[in-house]
Amino acid sequence: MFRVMRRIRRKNRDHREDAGQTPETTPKTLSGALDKDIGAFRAALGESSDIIIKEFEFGFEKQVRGALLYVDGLTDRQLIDDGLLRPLMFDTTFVSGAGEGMSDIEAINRDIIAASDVKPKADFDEMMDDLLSGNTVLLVDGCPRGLSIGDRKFMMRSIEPPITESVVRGPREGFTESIRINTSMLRRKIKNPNLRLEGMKIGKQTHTDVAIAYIKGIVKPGLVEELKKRLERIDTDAIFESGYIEAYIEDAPRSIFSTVGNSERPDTIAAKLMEGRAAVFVDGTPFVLTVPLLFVENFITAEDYYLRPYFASYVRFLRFICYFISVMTPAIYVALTTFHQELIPTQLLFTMAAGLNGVPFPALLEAGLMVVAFDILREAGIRLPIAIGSAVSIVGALVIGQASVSAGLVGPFMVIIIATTAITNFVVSGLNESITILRYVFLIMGGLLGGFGIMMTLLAVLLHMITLRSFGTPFLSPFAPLTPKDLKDSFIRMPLWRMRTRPLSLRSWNIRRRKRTEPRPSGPAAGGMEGQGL
Amino acid sequence: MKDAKKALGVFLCVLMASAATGCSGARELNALSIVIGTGIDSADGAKGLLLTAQIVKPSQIKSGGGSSDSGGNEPGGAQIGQTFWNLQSRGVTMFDAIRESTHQTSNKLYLPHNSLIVIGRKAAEKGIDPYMDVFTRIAEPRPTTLIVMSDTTALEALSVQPQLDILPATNIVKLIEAQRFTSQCRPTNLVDYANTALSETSALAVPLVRIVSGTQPEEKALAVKGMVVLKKGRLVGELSEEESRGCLWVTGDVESGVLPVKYKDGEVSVEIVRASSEVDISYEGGRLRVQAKIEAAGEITENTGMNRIETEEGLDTIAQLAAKAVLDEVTAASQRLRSLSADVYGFGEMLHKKDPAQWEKAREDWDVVFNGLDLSAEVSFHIPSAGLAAKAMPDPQE
Repeated sequence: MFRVMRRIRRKNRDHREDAGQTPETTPKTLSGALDKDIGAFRAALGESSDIIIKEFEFGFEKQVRGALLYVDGLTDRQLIDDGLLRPLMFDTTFVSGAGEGMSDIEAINRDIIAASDVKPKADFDEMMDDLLSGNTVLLVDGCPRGLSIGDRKFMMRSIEPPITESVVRGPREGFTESIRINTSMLRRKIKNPNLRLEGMKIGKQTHTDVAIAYIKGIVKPGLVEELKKRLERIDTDAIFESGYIEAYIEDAPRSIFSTVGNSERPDTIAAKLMEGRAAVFVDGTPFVLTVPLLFVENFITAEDYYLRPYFASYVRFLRFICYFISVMTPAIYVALTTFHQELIPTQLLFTMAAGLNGVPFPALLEAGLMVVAFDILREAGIRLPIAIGSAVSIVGALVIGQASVSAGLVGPFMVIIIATTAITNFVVSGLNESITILRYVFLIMGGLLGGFGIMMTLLAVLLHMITLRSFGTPFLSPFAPLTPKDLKDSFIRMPLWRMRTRPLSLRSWNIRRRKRTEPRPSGPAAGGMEGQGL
Repeated sequence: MKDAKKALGVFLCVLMASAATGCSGARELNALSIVIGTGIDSADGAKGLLLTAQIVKPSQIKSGGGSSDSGGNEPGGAQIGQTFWNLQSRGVTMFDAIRESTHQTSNKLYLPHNSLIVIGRKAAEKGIDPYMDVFTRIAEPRPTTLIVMSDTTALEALSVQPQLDILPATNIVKLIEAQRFTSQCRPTNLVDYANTALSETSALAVPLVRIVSGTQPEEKALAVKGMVVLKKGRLVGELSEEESRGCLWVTGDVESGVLPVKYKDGEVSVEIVRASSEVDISYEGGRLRVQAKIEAAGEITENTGMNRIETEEGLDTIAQLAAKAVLDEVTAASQRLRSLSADVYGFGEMLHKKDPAQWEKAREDWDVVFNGLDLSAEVSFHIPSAGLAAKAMPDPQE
């Protein structure tokens, strides 16, 4: 009685589905009747051209009917043909007495199918998810369960060097758009049973695969739970990039600073997990998120740890300087030339004044023009095809660097300022967005109020940064609150053997990284010729 | 949403508040009359204070820098007035004169880069205090601005086109700074002026700049020739180069310099490499006694005689001769300063700090006390070696 009613209701709703409605009436489980189940799939999927449904008969004297469903382009055709269809349709023909067991899905799985990743399933939604993710679904008449065969194979970009974080020394591989390949790259780095990858699907419409990666026993206690809570709270249609996730889980959504880190380097992600952080892999993007993020992490690159500590520390320090140069130089220049000319060395003042001879605009406007011009150039350079991009940068460089000065639009010093700003801008690539915004704020305040304005803005920005937290960790640590032990990996990078603890500011478990060891020859014998052979 | 509105409100408030300042105090770089040097002269009439402001022409400096190589060789200073502009204005007071200048230049004078104040002789004779007060009172001038006196007028000294430098004022500043190689003149700046002006007893010694004729006809150059003594802001006398250094030996301001010493049949040059002085001052029974212990070290840089000097005996003798030369300079300076009753040393202030009770007795009649100054100097000169040529040049007698 109920079943009849449900069927009628389903029929009514099927019409609505055709009108583009979301399938709400799909059955909860498979019925066992092949035609009905196929009908249910058909109804749910509509007339999509990439859905392939292959009905066939198999078994002794072809008594059993079955159907294979898969999405064209997502599956391995070879496996379907050789591993599924061939054994089912031909090999079983000659198995005497096989007809009896042929409707038993377990038996088919066990005896016939030549594929490894096979799961018997009865839940219709699960099967649908698998199907759309690239699995092949095998249905057998008279059997209320089907098989979900994992034979995903689709075209994708191969592993290439990461574009945003290139290194001179270090691995050349970067993440790809496939979450499975990305997690496999991480596994290859950390061969440890404690590396956990917890998967989930986010996005009501896109069902995007998301995986939380962490190392059990090292990760900051409570972090994974909090991360999961925040991920589960996400209520959205679609996730197309990890930036979507970032926007939903960050601590300070209105801040100009991001409190969620990202990287497309497996070695960076592995190292961050080792420090007690957690990572979020999102299908469809090479950018993997890490939490918590500290401000200082933006100044760290993977290569720092592959080089000698002296040079690495120097470069690290340089990046901090570059950050301040990039944010502040236009503002300081404007403040100096309009308010504090007495601070400019006398000789330099003469040359600067000479350069500004005949320049029609006040320094603030001049600087504003050039900063905007640079940002336009950069944006054009990113968006345009490579071939045109170089033309744009040549024209831009000529116009900005040469013509604007000789035409008397801006002073030659402004070009130096903008060039310095532009180059340093790319040194700290992780903070690129906030640098651009802050530069304008500082510029306007410096132009209106001089050094006072710059100091007030600096104060405001610092106050804001001090209030930021990233998953419970103060954004500015280890500087504020000061954690002296963590300074070993901040402005400078101590030798690896001196970095005995994981960052204390993360409060991870298992603080101790290694024993107190300093590399040294193992004894007098090791110094000799014989020792070198060892 | 509410938060966003609040944040926007705060942002707008800050923006408008800062915009309301209207860039007050902002001055564009190309709208400045950058003064690199000032001169003060005295003139007749009601507006008797004459200000010379040397204003830089930045655009000329840039282009003139290249052409000065060729132009500098031309006799007659064809370049004068190209890189700078000597603006002269009069006023009842100095600040009056400074503002008066806006009648001639489009911008206010910008003084923070003023590196030099040249005092004309006539102004120095009348007293420089009315000229100098403004430089110590307003915010723009630097305390490190140097002070020199011109033998003629300040304008003339500031008009001499230098051979190596682009600007006359910078040239004079560099000239004064180069005096540390001879220590025959001590750079004096606004702080020194203020200190002496505030002191009851001290007198100020200021470098003296003279216009001399150059090697080419009609070529003029500037030279530093000793110092002048200003007492209570008025010119009272001059110190020769030796007397100037004699004064600096006592105050411990000698840095470097050459002492030519006659040794046997030749002249030996001793270059001073280090000098220090320790002064003990006392006032008892109406007599001011100063004991100066001067320690100096030198190197022999030249020996024109045919004697071996690198022996211990030779070095000792030369050291004693050098000490004698130092002592001579010290004595000459003290005699001269006593005759001028000008306490350039700052002994008055030293006594004030060391023995306030005695100072109370002495301050009443300081000029008389200073006249009776008993300065005894003890010089120890140390010459460790005879220079790189350890052996003498071939001695024909050996």
